[in-house]
Amino acid sequence: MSPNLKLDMTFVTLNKDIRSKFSHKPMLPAILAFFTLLMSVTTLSHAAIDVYDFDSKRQEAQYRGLIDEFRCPKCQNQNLAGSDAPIAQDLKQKTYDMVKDGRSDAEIRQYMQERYGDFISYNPPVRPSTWILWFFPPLLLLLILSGWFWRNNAKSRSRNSAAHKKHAATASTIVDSSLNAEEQVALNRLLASRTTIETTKPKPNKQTPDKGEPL
Amino acid sequence: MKSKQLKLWFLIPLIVFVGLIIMLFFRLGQPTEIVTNTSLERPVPTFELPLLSDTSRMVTDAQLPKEPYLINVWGSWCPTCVYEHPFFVELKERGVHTVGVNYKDEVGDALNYLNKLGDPYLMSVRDYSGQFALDLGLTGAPETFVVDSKGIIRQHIVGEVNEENWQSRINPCLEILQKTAGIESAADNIAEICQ
Repeated sequence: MSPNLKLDMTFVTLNKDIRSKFSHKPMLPAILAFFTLLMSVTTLSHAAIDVYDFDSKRQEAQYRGLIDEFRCPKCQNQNLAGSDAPIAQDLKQKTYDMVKDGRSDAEIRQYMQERYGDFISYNPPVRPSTWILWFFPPLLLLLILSGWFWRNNAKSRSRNSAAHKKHAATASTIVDSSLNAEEQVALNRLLASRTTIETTKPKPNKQTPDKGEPL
Repeated sequence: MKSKQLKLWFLIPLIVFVGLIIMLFFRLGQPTEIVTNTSLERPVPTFELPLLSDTSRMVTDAQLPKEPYLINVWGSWCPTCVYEHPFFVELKERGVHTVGVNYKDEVGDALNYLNKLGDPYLMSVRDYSGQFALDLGLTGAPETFVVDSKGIIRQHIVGEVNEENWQSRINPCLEILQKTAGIESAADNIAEICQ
């Protein structure tokens, strides 16, 4: 029920965005009306489960916020708001009592956490043991993004230097990183000999270092 | 060199995938249920609850046994409790002390249940509101706790107690607690065996 509610809320914010962007579209009021209706229906079914009376809207909001946040210890992967297990009913009752009693969110969380551990909350506290949970995903994103930027930079840099190399090659030297020093020297010599061949007329017994066939 | 580097980049998804498969493979068949053990290594919560057999009499945590014992949370409405009940009757015959917590039950139903199936408990307290169970960190019934001679909870069993987990888990814990009842310095050993 409450996941639905959350979904509806995102729909609502989404709708707001849509409204501000495409307010001239005639279809929009109908779509908006549909989602509003959907939301009111799910809110009604949500309210039908609870029969609690609150002193103020603020208290009710506090209660709803908390039972949305707390996880049911029995039927795991459901929150208290969405669970009808006896223990979830107890915990809802307890939450209600404490809200009625004027306790703060922090106090109620502390009470639940003492009994059921960090597990009870879908919003676990930030502390060294939960750092990996909170900071790993943004760190990973950062790593991937910086890796991507770095690669892109490296690519464009190598493209630039490749263009330089082309110029260099016309000046009869090629710098190729896959060659070792010795091979590079040999290549340069070859290229130099080619230019001499081109400029002066060929000499018959020019030695070629790569083809070492004895004549 | 260039193409070699490129090949390495393309290998990364494969490596990640294989890593994931290995990770998932070792989780196959493992229990996915998360057991919350917050009551461990802590004293039995304080309480003042009516005795089931005579609800006009109140029992407090001061009246709990001073030697290692079990706390069994049960209710006549709970099918698994009915299923495990004969085993507790048998444990009583083996000389194991068990305190019952009658959880969210009607007095009449609870007493009928004990009359019909036998009463394996030293005493049963009546937790109608479920507040004591909440303080214990209960997730449902039945659940069983092993308590040492100083009133510290040493083991928390979620669900049924049977011959198998008795032999493998509960009895070894209870035995070490009985052996070390007067000794201070055996704490590490206890945690290792009981959890």
